[in-house]
Amino acid sequence: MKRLIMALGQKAIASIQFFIGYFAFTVSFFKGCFNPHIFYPSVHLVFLRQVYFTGVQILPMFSVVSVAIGLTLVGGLTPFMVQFGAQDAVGSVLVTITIKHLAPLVTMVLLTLRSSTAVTAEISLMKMNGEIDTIKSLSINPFVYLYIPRIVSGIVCLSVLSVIFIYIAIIGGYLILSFNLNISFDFLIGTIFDAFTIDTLLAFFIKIALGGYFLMSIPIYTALETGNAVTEIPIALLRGMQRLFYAIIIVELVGTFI
Amino acid sequence: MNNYLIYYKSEEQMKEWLKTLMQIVESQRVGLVSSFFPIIGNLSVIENILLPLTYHHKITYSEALDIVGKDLENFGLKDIMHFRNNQLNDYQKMIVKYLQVKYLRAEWIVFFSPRRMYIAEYEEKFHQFLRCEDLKKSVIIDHENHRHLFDDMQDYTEKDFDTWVTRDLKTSNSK
Repeated sequence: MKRLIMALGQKAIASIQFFIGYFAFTVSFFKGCFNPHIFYPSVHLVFLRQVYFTGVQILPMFSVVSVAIGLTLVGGLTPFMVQFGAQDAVGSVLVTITIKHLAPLVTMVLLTLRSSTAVTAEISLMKMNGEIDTIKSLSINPFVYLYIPRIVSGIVCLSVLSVIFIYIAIIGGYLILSFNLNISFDFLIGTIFDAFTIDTLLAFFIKIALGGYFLMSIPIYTALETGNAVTEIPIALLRGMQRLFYAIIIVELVGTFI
Repeated sequence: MNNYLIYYKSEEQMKEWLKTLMQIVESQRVGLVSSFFPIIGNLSVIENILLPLTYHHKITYSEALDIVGKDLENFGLKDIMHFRNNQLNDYQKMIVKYLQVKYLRAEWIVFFSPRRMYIAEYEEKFHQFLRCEDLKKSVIIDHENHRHLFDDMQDYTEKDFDTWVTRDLKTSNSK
């Protein structure tokens, strides 16, 4: 019993330490956003590279996943709803499921698996090798040069890829199964636009902004906690992914309540 | 010319001095050439050299490349400017590190424990480099066991670390 209480206490202290540290990291992120060096060429290059690694290289795999989900969603749900005479509700169901929930969620999960892991490993290695100290020794703010471009690219890539997901899932799903559906494309698009509300858009943008921030900031913060041993890198990866999946749940909950 | 040689007696003293220098770097632009501050592994040679220049000044990469072009040729780095850290030898890494701090436009350049940066076969090359480069304000900090390696350095005078920090560094303009 004593052991259990001690373990719980340790967990609670570790969680509080994480939240305090992460809050300080977030404050430094916002402070760094006002640094004039953010508009200088070296920072642009880091941003563009990160966008390429996060948002462009993933496109083939991302398209396949989007089509597969589109087939399941549009091809599976729409005939079912038409069969039961609920074709008027097709739009609102697709908007709620695809735009409000599935697009940010699927994109976040895919980017987590591909880019967040890579960023954790990269920053952990840089810290272990003393490269972050090198950056500081050159009077360069690591927030401005290393972290902010990665975090902003996470937000940008999550928004663009989520929009691409919506297009591919709905249009791709419809086109592939058009021969099997008893509704026209015009009707499908019209009903989707009719079901579009400000709340949906707001939920989408809040989820994108929050999710995009967590996507890169949590791996970076976790990587910065590592020490100088190589063995700490896989531990940081594991811890970072665990924290990120909790963050995804929080983002989903926030989206649900809007 | 203000070129100094400073010797530490123990590893603890070295670590303490390193800490002091890292604190100074936060408020003053001091160029540190040391194996404790390696070149960035995921950047090429040229990107490493241009990093301080393109971070501190709003100039494009092609403009920055024009500025460093002559040094790349002089140090034989032009053909390997797209190489990464793992493709360079110890001496080349040291030169890249030196060019990084040169274009940081730091007032003082500190070679901290240079003997740790390269293997013995580059010793003469390092001395030749020091003789050829026109260093106005530089400091070599090394272990006192390596004192004999710098016996022939006419331009360098021995100094105490604390005196250098309090009299020379602190009186320099902060960034």
